[in-house]
Amino acid sequence: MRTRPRVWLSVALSAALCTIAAPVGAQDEVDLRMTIWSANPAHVELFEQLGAEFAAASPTVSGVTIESFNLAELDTLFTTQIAAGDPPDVSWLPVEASLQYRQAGALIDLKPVIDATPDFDFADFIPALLERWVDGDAVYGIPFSTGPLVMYYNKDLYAQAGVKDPGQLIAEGNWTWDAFRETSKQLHEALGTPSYVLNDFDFKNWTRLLPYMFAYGASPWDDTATSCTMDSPEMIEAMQVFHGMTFDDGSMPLPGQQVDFWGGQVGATSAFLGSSANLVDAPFEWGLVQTPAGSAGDTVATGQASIVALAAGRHTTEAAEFVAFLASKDAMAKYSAYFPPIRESLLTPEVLVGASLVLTPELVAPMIDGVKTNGKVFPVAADNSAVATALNRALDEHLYQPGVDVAQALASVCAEIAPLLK
Amino acid sequence: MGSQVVASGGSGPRAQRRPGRRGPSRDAGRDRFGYLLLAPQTLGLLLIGAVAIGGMIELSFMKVNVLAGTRTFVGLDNYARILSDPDMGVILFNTFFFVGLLSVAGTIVSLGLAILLNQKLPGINVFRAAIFIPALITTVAWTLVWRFILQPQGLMDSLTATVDAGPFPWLRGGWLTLIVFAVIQLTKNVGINVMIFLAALQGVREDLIDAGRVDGAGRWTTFRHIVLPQISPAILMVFMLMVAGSFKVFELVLLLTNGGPGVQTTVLAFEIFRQAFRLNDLGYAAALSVLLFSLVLAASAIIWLSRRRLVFHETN
Amino acid sequence: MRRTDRRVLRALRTIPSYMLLALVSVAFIGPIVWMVSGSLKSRNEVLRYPPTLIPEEFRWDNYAQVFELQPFDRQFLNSIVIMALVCALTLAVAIPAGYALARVRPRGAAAIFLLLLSGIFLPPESVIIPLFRFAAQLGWIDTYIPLVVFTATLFTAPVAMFVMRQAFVILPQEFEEAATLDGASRWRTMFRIFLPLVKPSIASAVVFTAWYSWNQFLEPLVYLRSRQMLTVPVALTLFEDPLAGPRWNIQMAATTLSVLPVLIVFLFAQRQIVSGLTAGGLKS
Repeated sequence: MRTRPRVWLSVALSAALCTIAAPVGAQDEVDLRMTIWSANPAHVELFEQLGAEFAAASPTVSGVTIESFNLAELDTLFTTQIAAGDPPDVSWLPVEASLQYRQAGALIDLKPVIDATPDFDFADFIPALLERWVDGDAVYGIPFSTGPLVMYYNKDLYAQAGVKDPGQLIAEGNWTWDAFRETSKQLHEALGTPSYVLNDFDFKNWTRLLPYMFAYGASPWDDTATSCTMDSPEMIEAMQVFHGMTFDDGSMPLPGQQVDFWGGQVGATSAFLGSSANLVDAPFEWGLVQTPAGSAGDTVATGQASIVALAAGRHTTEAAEFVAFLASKDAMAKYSAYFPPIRESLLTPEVLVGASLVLTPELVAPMIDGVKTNGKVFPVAADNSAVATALNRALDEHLYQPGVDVAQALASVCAEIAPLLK
Repeated sequence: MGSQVVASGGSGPRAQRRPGRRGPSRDAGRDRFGYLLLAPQTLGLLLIGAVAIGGMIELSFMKVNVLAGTRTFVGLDNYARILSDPDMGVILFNTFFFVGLLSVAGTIVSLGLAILLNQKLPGINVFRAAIFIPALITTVAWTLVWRFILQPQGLMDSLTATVDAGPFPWLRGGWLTLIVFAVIQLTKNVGINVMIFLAALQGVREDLIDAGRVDGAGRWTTFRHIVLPQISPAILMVFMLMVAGSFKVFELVLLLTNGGPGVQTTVLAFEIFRQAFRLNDLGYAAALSVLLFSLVLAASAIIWLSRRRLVFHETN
Repeated sequence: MRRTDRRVLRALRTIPSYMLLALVSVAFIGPIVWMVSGSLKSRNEVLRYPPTLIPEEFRWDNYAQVFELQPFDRQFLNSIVIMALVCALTLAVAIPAGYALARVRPRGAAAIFLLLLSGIFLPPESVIIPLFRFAAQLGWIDTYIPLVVFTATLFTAPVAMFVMRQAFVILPQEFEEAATLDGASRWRTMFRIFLPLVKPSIASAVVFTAWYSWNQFLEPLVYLRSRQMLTVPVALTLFEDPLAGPRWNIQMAATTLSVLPVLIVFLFAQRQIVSGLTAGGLKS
């Protein structure tokens, strides 16, 4: 019943439309598909070039097609393509999806190819920052972009209000959340507008709270991602600072309130290093520092994305080879000007500043030190999309409200997400 | 009085249509002609609809693990889960509240605007275009604009403050937020319905209106007894399309509140999207889709079957 | 004297209409003004809140960047071609169907009507997976075909059929009887007598169909892959920095570019609809 009508339909409809049909792919040579969430021509060309280089050297691969999409569409595209049996061979994958994909067996172990590649120098990768992609001996993805959450601040606004800015607090050796909370409050009182905003947070994206959490040694779940620690004393301490700044001090925007640091209305923001592109043409003096320390010292919350080979793809061997090629030192050197690497030999201020119009080696150097010594990649759960959705939802319902008891709110949050952590 | 005579004259011919209907032999050719005209669309829909609906129903009996590439037949489990889902009550209430509000308000507002835009005034095209433009912009851009308008201490808050009201939690509370969604959705796409009404209004027979005027009918009487009966098929259509369309709105929810806080602002279409593409639970999403499909179908069938009470023109 | 009175009165009467129209239009056009002004701002200024109405420096360069970052002219053309094909296929099947349901009414018309309409009740996101798999099997990925065929049969043709049915239904029976007396064939009756009378509704069916196809996002996102094949709504999401987020000024420049031609066509089509109507001879 299946095939007949489909064939018939295919013929009929194709004929009816006088077809703009797709060319049928060649059979004996392998064409790889790689998806990336950048449409910047410079990035696309770079990966196309690397693809061509790889194809030229490979006996079986005839070419690599680079397809761009928007990161927001990743879930939709992958779900559809994998479910319909037509996934890409190689892709970028955000760290949030790492454990989920790994445990489902959706990613190919790259270790054999890595070992077989001469001069790969796997030890060059900072081990602590590889954690999410490694399982025993197996390696399921090579991080190509590892960006710390850092703090940008508007020097002009602080000067105008006569409040000590983060740079001055650091100089005093007083760079803590408590000190920053106090100056934020003063800034808010002087200017009337919110003085600190979490970039890209919007009360929907819990990972942007990580600078608070990590500073107090808190994490939403334990190391094995099996039990909820949202109600831990550390977390309560961290969230009390955040909640107080938002609902008591008025120094952070309320839910729904639109403020933007890049435009110059807000004193400070925490954002990825790559967000510095928004500061091109900024009409104010700005500074760049690490996020403040808490009772657990300073930890640099770090986002990450890897290049992976998908197990559902048609050409898994070639896909794994291509990933290893892209992760080689020579290839990585070509794109590390755009994407912060974790290859220690490439992780230098000069490399990172590379293509940026606003960053300087002096600004970036302390950030790199922070990542190298205290970098901690986002915590990830096994069923991460479900857990993250539930967590965002529960925080919105219980914590992001004025006048709530933080400890109680976090207990309610745990009650909702605990069942999803196995 | 006179106008009523005219109005019944307008629908009169239909009452004695097709005198030859009694003789089956005479109708055979007519039926064949009708089926011939209907064939292309019906066959196309049957084929592609079978793939679409068949696939949806098939998935609804499965537990799918997209990433692992496994599918297990689980019978009615997904449907049973709908019944036991504690959030479903809120979600369904929200859905019906939103659909009811948007379809009724949408139809009335578009008709009002269409009447306003149907006047023969110089420069009226500019106004028509103004109403239509938002329909050409992506929802993302439209939503962004509204986010600025609705934010705390934003434009809406300062407007309501002038009458000493508020501030209101525009995007933070259940029904208020659903009303806000309805307004945003309405302003974005009202232009399409206005177009349909404009076309219908322009098809109103002016001889009947003139005749009514001669009979001394006032503006309202003319509208009520001459214009309204003639455009009632269009009203019915717009209303039905609005009902069907509003069941499917989810982008706004995704962009503005993500369904929260909790599930306070979640509607069924958003829940389907979330389950399918955020949580990769294709089976459950498919079961919810079957539910949604049945709900819209039922709502539309009820409206359609009761049309003879609503539509003045379909008297046969 | 009476005539001038009436004229003055009529002119006075239009004033409230204008005021009301102006008020409504402001609410609708405000965001558009915001968009156009944003399209001329620097990357940084566009993020400023509250937004400035007049950019401090006009960055016409944003418009050039649209084409540097994406093959936007080609993508615009894709949208237009897909839209035109969807409209053509939709009208080709929906006008006869609407006519049949309104005027011919073969046995079972009511059931067929509901069947034909059923497509529009399907939530697109829940049928995309079976349809995508179907398209992949037929080798239709990265072509216009699924966007034309699936969209027309499932979504736009049902609505257009509905529009046409409702338009044909109100036409008086006398026309048909007169035609039958003339000995006009069924086809001639349909094409020569009824079709010209429903021009405004054909226009609104076209507007609806074009709008639906133009705004589609999920379907082109899933069916299309190469930059050269993408449509405008999908392309708009690509004016984004992978690390720093959306480049709003470029996105708004691209949106403005995509809206303007459509708007011009719309204004032009409006006039056609009106003149087509007066030529249609409904008044006779």
